[in-house]
Amino acid sequence: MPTPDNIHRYLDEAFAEIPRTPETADLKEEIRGNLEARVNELEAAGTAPQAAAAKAIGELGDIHQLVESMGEDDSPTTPGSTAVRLIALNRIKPSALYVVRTVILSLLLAGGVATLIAGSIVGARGTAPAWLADAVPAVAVLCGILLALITGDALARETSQHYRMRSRRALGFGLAAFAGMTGVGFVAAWLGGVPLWALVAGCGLALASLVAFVALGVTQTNRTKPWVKEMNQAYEIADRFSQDPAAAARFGIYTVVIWIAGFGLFALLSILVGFVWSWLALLAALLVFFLVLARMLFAIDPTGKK
Amino acid sequence: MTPQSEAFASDLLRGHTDTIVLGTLRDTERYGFEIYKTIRDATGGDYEIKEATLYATFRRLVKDGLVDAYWGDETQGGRRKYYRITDAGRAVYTKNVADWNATQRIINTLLNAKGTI
Repeated sequence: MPTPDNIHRYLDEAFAEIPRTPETADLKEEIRGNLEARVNELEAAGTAPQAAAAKAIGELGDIHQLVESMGEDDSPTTPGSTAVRLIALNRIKPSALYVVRTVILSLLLAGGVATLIAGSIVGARGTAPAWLADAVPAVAVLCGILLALITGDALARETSQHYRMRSRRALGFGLAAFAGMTGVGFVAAWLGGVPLWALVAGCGLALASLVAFVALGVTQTNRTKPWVKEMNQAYEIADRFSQDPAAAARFGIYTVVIWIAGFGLFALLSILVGFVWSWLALLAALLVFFLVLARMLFAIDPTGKK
Repeated sequence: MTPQSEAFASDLLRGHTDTIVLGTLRDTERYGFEIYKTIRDATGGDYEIKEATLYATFRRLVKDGLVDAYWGDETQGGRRKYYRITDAGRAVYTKNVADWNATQRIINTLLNAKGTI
């Protein structure tokens, strides 16, 4: 067999024989990323692309044994354990820089919004110094810029559950957020005594923001990663009531019986021993209700069948 | 070096792969190829651990809770899976190094032992 010189084809062949599970898919992607890193290093040193791929694959060694050993691992799965595995495998840690940046921007934004509110309240009472009223629109614009930065930055970033949004779309959402925040800020400034132009501009911006959000919203495509859907499906299957309508109907009848008995007992005890003790009947009914709910919704038999 | 002694050295080294990988993660988090490169460069190319072996090691270390694994959030280029040593991993690393040093001392002594008779 000639040395393979395409890392993607090589990986497809190596993983072809074993069932596709979250673990094997994860390993495949990890190896792919590392092979690409090695190929890039070799190409930067002047190796031809095909030769670089062949060399990287050669250095990798025999992954067939590793891959086969993963195929044998089929421990029994429950929706819960599947979720734990999927979350652990797909975790993405945000970079420290991004987190710090977002926290700082959020703190500044919180300060800005507080200033906006304080400025407009003080302005509305007519006790504000003139410079404060003048500063409010500027603070509104600043808040808009901060919110736009936070929004765009967050959307253009890959998370554990979502793929990153394309830069231009993220920019669009950022601009819409800017218009919305600044618009509301201008209206607040008008309430605080800034002349009519602030109200007009504020309403215009808010309207533009609304239109932009609607336009972006209806054209938004799926960003959710497949593993999240897989996990949600696992949970839907685990929900016994949607799986077994008879159990749901039975539970409905039990509920009616429990509460009729509870209220009947409550009324009886209220007459016989008074309100001091009669509420215990309702508490008992509630306890029984939740016990029945737990017993019915999560069947003891893990297959959900009696 | 004869081929035979090389094979023996590799066997001996393979037994310490987990500790070697933990060692490369002591100071910073790294992704698979970086770990491979660190080990390769540290020996000046004398010993090349097979990457395929490393993947099995990573899985074992993650399963035992000695390292944390997560995907990086690079916005460009290939995706990378990073590994970071945990406190449990540090403890195991320290213990393994101490064990190795003690064993090495004993073996060195035994290899030089001539007896007094």
